[in-house]
Amino acid sequence: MSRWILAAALLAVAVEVSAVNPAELLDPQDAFRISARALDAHTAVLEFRIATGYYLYRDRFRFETEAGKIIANAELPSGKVKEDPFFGRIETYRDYVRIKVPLSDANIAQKRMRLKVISQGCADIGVCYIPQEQWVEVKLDNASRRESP
Amino acid sequence: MIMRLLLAGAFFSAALSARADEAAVRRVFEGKLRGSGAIETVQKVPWGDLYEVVIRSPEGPVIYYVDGAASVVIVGQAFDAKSGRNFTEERQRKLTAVKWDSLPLQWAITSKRGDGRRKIAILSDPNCPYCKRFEGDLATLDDITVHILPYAVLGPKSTQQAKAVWCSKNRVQAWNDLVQRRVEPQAAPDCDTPVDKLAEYGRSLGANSTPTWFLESGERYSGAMSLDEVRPLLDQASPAKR
Repeated sequence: MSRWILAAALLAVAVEVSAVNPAELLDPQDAFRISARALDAHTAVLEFRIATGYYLYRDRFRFETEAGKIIANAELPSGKVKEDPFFGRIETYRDYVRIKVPLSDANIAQKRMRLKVISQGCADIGVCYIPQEQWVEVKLDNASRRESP
Repeated sequence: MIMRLLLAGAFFSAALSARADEAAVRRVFEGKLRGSGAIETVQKVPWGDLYEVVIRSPEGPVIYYVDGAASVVIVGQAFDAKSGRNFTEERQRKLTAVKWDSLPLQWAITSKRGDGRRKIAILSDPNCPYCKRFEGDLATLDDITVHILPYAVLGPKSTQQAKAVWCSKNRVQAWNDLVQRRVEPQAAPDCDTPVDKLAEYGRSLGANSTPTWFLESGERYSGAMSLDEVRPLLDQASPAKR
């Protein structure tokens, strides 16, 4: 895609927020930027860079394989805990979160992992986003090259 | 009047003829969208020698500007240098507006106070803390009609709760009990409800956040705006009738 097509998607970043409206609110994929890479031969790492004033809920993450199988053993770090009298115990992430996802034998054999990541968050200015689905792909060749220079 | 450019590297140069028409402007975009959107309109702006191009993307309309020679694409917001009027934002709001009469208010949980003259329709999820705040604030206003469109999108629990509210005898009370007081609806969620249809409807509008709300003018907003901000907007969109 052309760079200017992408640039327009990022436009909201640069706009000063005076009141909340659709033109000023970041799109979820810009508020919660995901990247993925291989950490070692058995683990992939997902990183979310979260825009200032935005946060993700720890208990709303879900990870699925290409075949739609839920990956239950991802390692989510502890978030910031808030005891909400209304919604109960809420754990959230701000700024940055790093999640470890173990690779399956099939991933290792195919030297790649494609993963569906579902996340949900809100913005302090007063909105919550619908759950976001993002696909990430990790090529395992790069990791082994990095490990043995 | 100036174009205020907010992003570096947003220029794209295409070697085209010096004097372009709308078709030439269209060609700048064609082939570059790759299914991520479609050109909706191409027209000259009333405030300068530029074309405005509106791309309809899954997230809603996106505005670009192209110079008169169709050689430069500008990504940014245009302000009137004197008054500070934001031309781009005004257009954006027009583009995301709906016709009030087109809203599926037959699927709303409606409450009216006083003469009910100020109207608002809110896509609201029962588990969205900002929806709770916003609706709680609106409940302190007189002369208002509030249409809650139960937009259960934040999780499966929301869907189940919204359906149970809809199946309750007194929907207004069941919704307020749930959203404001965390009292779960007692009805079984097994009647015919519009909850799934509303989820589809909201997505078709690109409403990817809650609360998303509409004034009687059809203008669309997102977020729990403060009462001080929302009151004048309500008055403007629903003026007192004589």
